Amino acid sequence: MYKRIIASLLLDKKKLVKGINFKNHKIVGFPRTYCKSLGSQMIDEIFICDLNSYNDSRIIPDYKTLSEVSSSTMTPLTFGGGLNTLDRIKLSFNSGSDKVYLSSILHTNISLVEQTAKIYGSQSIVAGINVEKIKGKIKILEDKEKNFFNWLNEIENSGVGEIKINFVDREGTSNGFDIIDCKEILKKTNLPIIFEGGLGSLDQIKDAFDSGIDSVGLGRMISFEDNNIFKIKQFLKNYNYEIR
Amino acid sequence: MKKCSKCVMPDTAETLTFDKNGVCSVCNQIEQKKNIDWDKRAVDLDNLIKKYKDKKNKYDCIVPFSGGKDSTFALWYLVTQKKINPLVVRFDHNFLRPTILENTSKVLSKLKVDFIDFKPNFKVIRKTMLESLKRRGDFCWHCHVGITALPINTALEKKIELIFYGEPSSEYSSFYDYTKPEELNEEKFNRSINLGINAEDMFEMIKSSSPNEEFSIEDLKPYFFPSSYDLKKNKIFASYLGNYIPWDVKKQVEIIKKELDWKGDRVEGIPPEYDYEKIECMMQGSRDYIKFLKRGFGRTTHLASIDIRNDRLKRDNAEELVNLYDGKRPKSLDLLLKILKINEKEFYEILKKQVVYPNEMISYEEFQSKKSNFSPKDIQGWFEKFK
Amino acid sequence: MKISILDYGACNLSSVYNSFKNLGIDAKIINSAKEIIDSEKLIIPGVGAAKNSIEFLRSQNLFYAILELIEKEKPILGICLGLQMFSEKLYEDGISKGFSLLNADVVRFNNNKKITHVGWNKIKITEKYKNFFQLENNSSFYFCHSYFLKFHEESNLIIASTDFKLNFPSIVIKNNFMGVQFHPEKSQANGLKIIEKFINWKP
Repeated sequence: MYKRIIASLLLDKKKLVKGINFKNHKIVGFPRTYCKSLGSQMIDEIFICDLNSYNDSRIIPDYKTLSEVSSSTMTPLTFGGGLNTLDRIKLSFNSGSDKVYLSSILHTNISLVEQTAKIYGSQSIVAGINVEKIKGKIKILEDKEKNFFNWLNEIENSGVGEIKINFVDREGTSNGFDIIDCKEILKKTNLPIIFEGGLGSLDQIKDAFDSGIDSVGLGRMISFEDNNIFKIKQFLKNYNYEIR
Repeated sequence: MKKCSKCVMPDTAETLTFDKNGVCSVCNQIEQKKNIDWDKRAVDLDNLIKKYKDKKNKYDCIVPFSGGKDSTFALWYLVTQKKINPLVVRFDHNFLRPTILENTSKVLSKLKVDFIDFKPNFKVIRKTMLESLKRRGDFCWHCHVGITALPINTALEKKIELIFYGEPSSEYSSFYDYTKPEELNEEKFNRSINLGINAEDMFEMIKSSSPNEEFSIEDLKPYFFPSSYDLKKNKIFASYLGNYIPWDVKKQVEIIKKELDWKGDRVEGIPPEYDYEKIECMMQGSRDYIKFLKRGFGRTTHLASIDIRNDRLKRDNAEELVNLYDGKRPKSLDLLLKILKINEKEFYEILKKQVVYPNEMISYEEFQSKKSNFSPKDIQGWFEKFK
Repeated sequence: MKISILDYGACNLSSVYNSFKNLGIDAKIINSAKEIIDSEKLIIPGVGAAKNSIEFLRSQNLFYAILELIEKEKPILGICLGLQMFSEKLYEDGISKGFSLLNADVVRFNNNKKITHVGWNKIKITEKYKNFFQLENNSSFYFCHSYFLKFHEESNLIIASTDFKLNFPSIVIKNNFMGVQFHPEKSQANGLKIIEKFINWKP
């Protein structure tokens, strides 16, 4: 199947933002129009994470913006940020998301995966893991004691459809992926994996695809640089990757 | 950076793909042009015009106009060869040069057409220029968007359904190709025109950059593009004359020079013999220089490639011209820095972040020293204007 | 020409509605038997479990209304589950009976472990229908399904097919019924071409 280029967007009080290492966020654009433009440029999928409900689960996720985005572009949408109950997940689907993104809640209530899969199917669930490298080892941001590869295994068995790995310490840095880490992760699971965090130029995307990665999340590249998705794809087509 | 084996465009040029012989997609698109049944397209054009000729509406169509070679030729062709009564619409980006203004006067009076001109206030433009330079390495957002949105919004407002642009983008880029007639719609606007920034996005960007300034979304009204729903519901159809007649720049320039006394002008960064290209805008040289910094090629590469594709120039001559004219810092850059109120170093740092792989940014020394000696006649006037 | 979209509890109605809006069409969202029978053109979207959905349609008398609309030869577009329900038997959670318009059953990709075909994939259009949608062969669309249409024998109702584990029908046309296994409302410009064709279709 095709390699996937995915837009990874952060929502903060109804606007799209982007930062470095999840800090110092700058305005990127207005969700409805920005996503419309991504769709016109042939983005494969759009991921939106509501930062406000992600950081404080008492805040209700911004379903209204999700609904506006869903109406503005004919593109597969994944929504996340504070989706910690089945009710919230249902609301996300009803507001127009095709998939839901579950991350923090997996540490405390992983049974939510099965409950969701029963109604919507496992393909509707993307599990997120935030990682950083500490002393050469991959550590989970929210739980540095847990063994990353054990956690990866546990998530795979819970019934999710795919997994998204976020290199939080590389986010916004344009330093590219650590390809060795990515290859190791790919070896340890059969599920589709999306990698994100650190891609800053075309050659880094190339390196990612060359190493066996099939799906990449772009944040910085489509926020503060002249990197039109269509143009990125045309460039990649010159290297014979299966690009839509 | 690899180059097309036929023309001299490099792989950093946006949207180019290369076939197994190393020939770029635009060269192949120009070859595609030869296989089009232009006789059939001519009939399609007449049918299209007939379909939209409305006794109720005074105007048969809108012709977006800048005074440059393409819109001038399109207007001339439609009025004199197709007997159309158009409403001519111009978005004045604030940098129209004296020669183009004279050309416009001549053309409008010779063709006897109605003309609507809109010039947005510069206060807003200055803000959008800086914002789009920082975010996309391209300060021309207001122009890309304005020249597209104004005719479409005018069409909706005045209920004129047909709009005729001139040159299809397949002539120089591969967002689209010649297999299907090109259309200006929401997809094209967002894919290839607005830098991925709609008015609503620009509003948020400016608000966040200047939180203490008085600024409302009304200020960006000229830059709103209507929804697909509004366009389809009102049957607005924006097409390109180049879908129906084979676009031939040199031939068309000869015609407008002869028939309308259209005059060329000298533009920064390109050989003097290309006196017909992009003569409308004072900032063209800076725009092309920025492209050179980002992508490693300038306007001379682009023009020479067009000539190669049309068998008017040999490749080694093209390369000579490119070496002579591309990459020399233009005088207008000082004007740009003045307008944007940034200095050389700030400008350099902004562009450094926008460089497109595999191109590499030139050194600061080269940026400061490799300058063009050419001074456009009108540049002093512009410095005065923006004092 | 009024376009109606059937609301029977399947998600993502607004995506389908908005894709028609992009073409200037104000579709009507309907949910009663009478409205179905009175439709000039009907879209049946579909995301969800076959058994629940078909049971729901029967319980609300919508099943028979749709059968009647087929008789009236009004154009119908079925999307994903909306295509599958026009088969004979749907083997999900037991066996459900479909509209039996198509001589096919709906079965899983794989019997051992549930496999879902999700993501963008290509369709191969038959020669005869090459210009029908103004689509190039190998155009990509967004799919999301675990079951596919299996015809009893080779069928000329299959306008386009797709490869995933095996080759399965992605577009089916029978008289006034057009069915697509993918989601045109999620397939950007290519999806719009399908929708545009349905709007202008005179079967």
